[in-house]
Amino acid sequence: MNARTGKFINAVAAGFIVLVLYLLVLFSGRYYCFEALMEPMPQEWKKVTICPSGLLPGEGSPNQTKDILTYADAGISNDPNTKLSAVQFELNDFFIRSEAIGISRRYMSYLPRRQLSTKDGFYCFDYGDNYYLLFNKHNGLFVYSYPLYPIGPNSFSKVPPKTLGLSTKTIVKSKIYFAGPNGVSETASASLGRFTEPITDKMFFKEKLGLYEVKQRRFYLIDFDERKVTAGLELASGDKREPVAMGEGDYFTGPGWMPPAAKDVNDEWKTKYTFLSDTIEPNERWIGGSFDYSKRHITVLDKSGQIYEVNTVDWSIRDVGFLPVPRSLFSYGQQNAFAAPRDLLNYQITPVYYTLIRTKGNRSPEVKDVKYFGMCTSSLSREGTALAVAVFDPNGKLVCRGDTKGDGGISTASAVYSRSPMARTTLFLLENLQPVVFEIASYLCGDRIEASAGHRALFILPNSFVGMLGRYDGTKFDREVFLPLLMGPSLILSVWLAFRVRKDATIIGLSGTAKKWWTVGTIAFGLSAYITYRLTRPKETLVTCQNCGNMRRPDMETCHRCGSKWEIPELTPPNWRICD
Amino acid sequence: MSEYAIQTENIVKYFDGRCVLDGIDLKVPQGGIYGLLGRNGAGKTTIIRILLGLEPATRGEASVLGASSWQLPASVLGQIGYVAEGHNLIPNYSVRRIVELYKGLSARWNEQFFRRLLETFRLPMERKVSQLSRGMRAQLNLSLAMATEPKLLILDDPTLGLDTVARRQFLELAIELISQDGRTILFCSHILSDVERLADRIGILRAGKLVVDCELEELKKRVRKLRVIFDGQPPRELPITEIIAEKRQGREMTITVANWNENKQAILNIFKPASYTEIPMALEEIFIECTASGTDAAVDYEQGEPICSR
Amino acid sequence: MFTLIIREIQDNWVFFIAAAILACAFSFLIGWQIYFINGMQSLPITILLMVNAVCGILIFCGLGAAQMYWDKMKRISALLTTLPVTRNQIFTARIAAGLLAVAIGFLPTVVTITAVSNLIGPSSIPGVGLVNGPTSEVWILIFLLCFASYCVGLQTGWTSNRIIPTLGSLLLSMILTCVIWIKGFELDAYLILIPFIACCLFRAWRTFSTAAL
Repeated sequence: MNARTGKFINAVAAGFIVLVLYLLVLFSGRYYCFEALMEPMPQEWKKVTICPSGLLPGEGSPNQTKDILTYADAGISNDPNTKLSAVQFELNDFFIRSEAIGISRRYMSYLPRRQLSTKDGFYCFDYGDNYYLLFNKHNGLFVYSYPLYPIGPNSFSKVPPKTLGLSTKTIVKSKIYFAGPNGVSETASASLGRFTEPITDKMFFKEKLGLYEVKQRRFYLIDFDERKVTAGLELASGDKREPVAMGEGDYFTGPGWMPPAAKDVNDEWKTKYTFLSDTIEPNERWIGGSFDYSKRHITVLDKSGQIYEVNTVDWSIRDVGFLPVPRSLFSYGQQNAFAAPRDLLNYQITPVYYTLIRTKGNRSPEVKDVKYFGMCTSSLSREGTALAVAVFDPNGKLVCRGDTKGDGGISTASAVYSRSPMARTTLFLLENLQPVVFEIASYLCGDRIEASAGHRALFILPNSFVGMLGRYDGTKFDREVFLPLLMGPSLILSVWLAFRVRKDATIIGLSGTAKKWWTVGTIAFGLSAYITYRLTRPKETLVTCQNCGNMRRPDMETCHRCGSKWEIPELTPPNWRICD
Repeated sequence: MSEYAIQTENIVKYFDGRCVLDGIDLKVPQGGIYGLLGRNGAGKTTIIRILLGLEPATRGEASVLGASSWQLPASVLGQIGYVAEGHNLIPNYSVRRIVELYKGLSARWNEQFFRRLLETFRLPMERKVSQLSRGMRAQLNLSLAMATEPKLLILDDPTLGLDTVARRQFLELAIELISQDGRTILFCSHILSDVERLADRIGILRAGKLVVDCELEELKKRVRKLRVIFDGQPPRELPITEIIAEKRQGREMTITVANWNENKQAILNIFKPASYTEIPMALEEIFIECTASGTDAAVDYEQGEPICSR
Repeated sequence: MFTLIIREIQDNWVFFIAAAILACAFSFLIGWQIYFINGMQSLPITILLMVNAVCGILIFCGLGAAQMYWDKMKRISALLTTLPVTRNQIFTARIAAGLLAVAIGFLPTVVTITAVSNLIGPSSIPGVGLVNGPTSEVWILIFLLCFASYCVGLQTGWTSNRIIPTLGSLLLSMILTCVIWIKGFELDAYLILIPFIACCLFRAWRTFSTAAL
């Protein structure tokens, strides 16, 4: 490696080190500023209540006791007796810390019963006692295991003994089934075929499983009770649909609840909820929930934000809703536009089903009837500052939409910045310390970064003011007028530092090429480049040139200012030599 | 293989803006002993450090045993023994540990020779280097350097701190070493009697330049010190070139001239001195004359003012 | 080369002992936590892992800084380069010793936890090993982080000022831990740490190979 190459690599290496440490410090500052902005947000700003939505029979009834549910952080109520009186969503900024920041994401993935990353090769729910369902990426098969409890000589039951009133000290043996595209078997054989990239629901009820195989673009239904796999609808190659999630759990959540008795239903809704008055058997009951227990209908989320329902009986698809576009600082979220899931920090899809369940003694409950009443969806904006809610009727038509609002009806996307001027100003200044080249990249392509990754971004900042301006849905002219204003401090700082670097480089005698690169680099990378320059500049002590009087470098043959050769007046060697 | 063990080309060295070496062209031939002399701060140690790759030169190139000094390969380093001024050994290591380190890393190790040296110098193996006296450190350093059987031995004031007996022992060892074929020694010392005894060639540094670089005998021939007595006042300025030093006292003038030849003799004769005698000089006197004055100004001791600067 | 590595270990034995103590202590604590207390519940283990990582960062950052600082102060390389040893060999031996220290600090803990986890792992699920525990990516990243802090110490240690290598390297290493906080244990963290380590090593090598000894 020659000296010139070595110096260049040294500068690049130093630049990278400085840049990483510098950006880490800036990130920490911006994070705490964001916390300071979100912290004082009043509770009432964070809620969106839609009442009446047309989804719940108890809405507006004086006999109902409890509001609630569904949060934008995917929390659900586990109380089946909760009487719902309104659709309400709440922006939960804890989500941003818990889900978006890297270490928390890892921690959250450890929580019990949480789905593992598919890159581990497995994902499953494990309820203990050998009761689980998982997908084994290595052999491409679904594995379903359930325990069998002895209830008599040579007689076993799937139902836990506690439910049957039996002693808990029973011996458990388990049954395992393997399912591939070609069928279900008790052994993992190659004849079952292989799933390669399935998207499936989250398997709360394990006997039936709906899935979409990405490579084949086909839906399947696996029925472990019947030991069969039904190959269903195949999306044509020209069909632009691309499912990304489906079924139940995680983003598809909502409460389970007991619908009210007929007498408690509001008169206005009686015509809609007539089924609640129908006569049912003693071992039957209606329950409300956000999925079809029978798996005759599976809710699917598309890459575009469109939501559709797949009928696993006739394999038809129909649109049932979409994810609404939330507001942002510089954009307004059009009423009927879809928000792609990758552009949302979080979202929630809550279909509303009423299911008639019949319990069958020692067998699993049987679904007798299912009614779909529509759905509500919520989208948490990329920045995490605004929530949009949409309600759809059973035909998929948008009924109403709500957004989180601050004082004076302004969207929380804007209002959040008004609570703490100090935090807002500090955040703005810290964003302006980001290198110019990354700011411009944030403006141009910040939206290409997935929403949650944007909160972990070090280099390109999609959630910065400049990044948000890049998503401004006004005119291009307006955008480009605001851009220099937002980037002003950054540009001024970079240019000033570049000037200083150039001046110093001239004094210490860097070559023209080096000076040019350092100047351009400092304009592009700002303060981090300046720090790098100070760390890597030659540390020769300059001496005065006898010819021009400027400071010159002793390691150069001639003065880099006037080109004169060396004279060293402080050394006066004698005029004699005694040499061979 | 080059005929020179050490070769430098226009070595320039600055320390914090102060020039120490100003274009040194040093050539040390293979075999023999080269004595490098200079006053304190002349740059002897700096040259050695540059040769060994311990210090980068500000400008210029240096090579040792055919390899560039700044990137000496391990094979060349294994052929060099070095005794540093101040005897730089790791202070908190014990003597035994230092010896083990040298043994482990050296390309060659003469255990028998080393044992002999240890017995001669009676060095305590378990004591830490920082607890050794200066002389003992010097002895240890010498022993370690010599036990590696180096092809090139660089000694920077090696006898500093040694008593007379130890110094004599060292000199005998050095003579024993150079008696082996092809060995070269670069030797810096302020004890010029030792240098005179050992060295074949002499180099003298002054004002950042190598003002003397020739064989010792040649040096003695080419530097003449003459006491010249005139009938009247000595001439104000003698038009003889390369006067190293000049001293006047009454009618007497003592001049030291470099590269004395017939021309200079003839010029002197023009001034018709009453008499002149040559004062023989040992290396020490030559060194003092060559390095005495920093400004190289001739001084009239009667008038107490400089006559001319050379 | 072996002699040089042994020399590095002997000179910095304090750090190697500290790394061994770190390994023993956290092997015991995390293994005990997994086996006797919480199984693979994550919060206590996560806390212990973080404490383990922070202790590791302090030790290895100190090792890197100490190696370079004492070399400069005692002029060790000035002596070694007069032997048939090049600066590159000295530096390589130094890095090898540092890697060894980091390995001593972590490998026993990784082996212990893997063994204990396999003992109590969810055996009811065939083929699924560490369902909820720290997986290989966690260990690799902690290893990389500790090695990166060692490299930071190498860079800041070459000075005659005592304060800069001590406080400077610690401060920079603590800033570096934010990579794990922000990026977690995903590919992004690798993409930052690996080039960072390479750049630090290059800079430290360049400083060492061009400095006056």
